[in-house]
Amino acid sequence: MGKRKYRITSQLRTLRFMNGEMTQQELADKLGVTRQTIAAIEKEKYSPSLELAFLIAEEFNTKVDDVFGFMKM
Amino acid sequence: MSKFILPSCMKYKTKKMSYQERKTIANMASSMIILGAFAFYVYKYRIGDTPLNELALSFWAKSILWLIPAAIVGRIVFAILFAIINAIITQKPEKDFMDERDKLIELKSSRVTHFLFTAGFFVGITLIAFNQPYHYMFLAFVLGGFLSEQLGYVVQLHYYRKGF
Repeated sequence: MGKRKYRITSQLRTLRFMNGEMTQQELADKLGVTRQTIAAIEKEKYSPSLELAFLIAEEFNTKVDDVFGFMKM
Repeated sequence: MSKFILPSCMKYKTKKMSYQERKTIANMASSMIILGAFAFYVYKYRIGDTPLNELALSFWAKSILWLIPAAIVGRIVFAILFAIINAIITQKPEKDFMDERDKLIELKSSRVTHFLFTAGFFVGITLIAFNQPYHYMFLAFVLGGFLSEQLGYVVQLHYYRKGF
């Protein structure tokens, strides 16, 4: 398996912080995923599905672009 | 003194295990215990001193057929035990459900499992094609099934730890 040539960056940690220090568990419960998935997205170890990306953006009343970024390496 | 360096894909940071990782390890252990206990029972109480190549074909077929319900019941028992022990140790109830990431990881691991299981089946059939004793075929089936399951769990652990 070759190395990835791109990176999906995430502002999730910042957004949680700006929304009253929302915990990973609280966000996970709202989105219907596990806390580990939120942690993996924050550490950029997992790129969420388009559906989950939109749900996250909706949760923070923002656009998907403001939560996730695409970076070529 | 030369230093042993791990390849980058095998470098895992030491961290607390997640619920999914603990569950995967528990599944691995339960699979080993169930097959070990079943093999011990069959070898000690059913086979005894009879040489393996003198056992009837139906004996091997029945043994594999019995292994399936035994494994299902064993799995249920171990899953309950794991849930109880985990709740006692962590002092908090865990929601046991699969989200999209878990499903994707399971899909990736089952691909490896199916490949190895098929390889075990292929080895078994090949042994028969080359006139080897038929109990080799059954052993290849069981071993292929066991190893494929274990490797599937290893793949799951790898993806949970390293990400993808």
